[in-house]
Amino acid sequence: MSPRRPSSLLAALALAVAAFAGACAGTPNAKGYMQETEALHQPFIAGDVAPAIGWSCGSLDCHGTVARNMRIFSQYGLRLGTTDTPGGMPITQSEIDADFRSVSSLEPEIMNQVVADGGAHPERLTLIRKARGTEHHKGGTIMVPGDHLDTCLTTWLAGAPNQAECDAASQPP
Amino acid sequence: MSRQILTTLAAAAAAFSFLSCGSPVHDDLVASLGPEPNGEHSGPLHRAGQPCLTCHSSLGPSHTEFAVAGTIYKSVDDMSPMVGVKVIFAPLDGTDSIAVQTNAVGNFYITKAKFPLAYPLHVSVAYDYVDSAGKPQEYVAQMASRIGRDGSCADCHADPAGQARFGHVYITAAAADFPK
Repeated sequence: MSPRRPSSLLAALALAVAAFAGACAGTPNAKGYMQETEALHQPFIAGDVAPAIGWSCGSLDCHGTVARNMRIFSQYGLRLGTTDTPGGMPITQSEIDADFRSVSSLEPEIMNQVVADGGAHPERLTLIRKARGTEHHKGGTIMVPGDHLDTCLTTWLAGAPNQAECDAASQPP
Repeated sequence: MSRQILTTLAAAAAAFSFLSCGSPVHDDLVASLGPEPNGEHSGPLHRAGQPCLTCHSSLGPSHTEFAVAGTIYKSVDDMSPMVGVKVIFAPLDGTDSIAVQTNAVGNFYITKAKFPLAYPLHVSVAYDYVDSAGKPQEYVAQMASRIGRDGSCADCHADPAGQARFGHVYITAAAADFPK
């Protein structure tokens, strides 16, 4: 057997790296959303999921800051419009869309699997584990299974968000 | 001297230099607050409206570490300090709340040693007054959002209000709505 030339080895390596990168990355569509999670976009809007996440996670000292990867916009937190201020006008459609991108872009492949499984085992998502406090979370335990926010998020991942629970999670108890 | 001893000494020197250096980011934050305004001296009445925990944290330079601290004003358009109002912190987990009273310049603080609460927290401000009929009343204003992790009010409540700033802490939005 003749020894393989270095250039063909490099080419094979580059091909493998490209294939690996493709396997890990989500695929943005024309709106910039991950195609894998597009099915969750309308339920996110219709179920008032954004205000629930905004109130529970998006205070200015937590995910309502530009320093967070999962950046959340909300009425009482960070605003997207340059002239909007916290506590001012209600959350805008642009902010809801931005929140959806933040949440769905964390682990689009796993989120897609959860959606495909009808929302079963949502704890596969870091989003759920951190909020439940089962994985280290600087902000502590934000929800427990069965409470307003947990029900809001898990029913959303199942494709049919419980709007009443989301609304209840959007305001002080 | 053996190589092992030299390696140990180098590691110790590196560790010492790392630990003895402050955080340049923190140093810049402290410096950005400037000198004591109006010739004030450090103490409970100084630097009203500034982010207290910038200095009163484990990074210093103050030796008194706060858990929560801030300044309460009358309204959006009236920055009269609110004296003697109660600031009540209630944890989300339902454990007992803690209250503290503002001082002569509207400042309040609770040291870390005396603050057992876990975040996130709800916070409200209670203002006692006597109404026109001479009856004692209490007006309570609740903060619209939670405190997630930052006990320094002015980190979020800095003026002027903007995309990521609420503006100063107030009891009523308009001075005309203030209870009397």
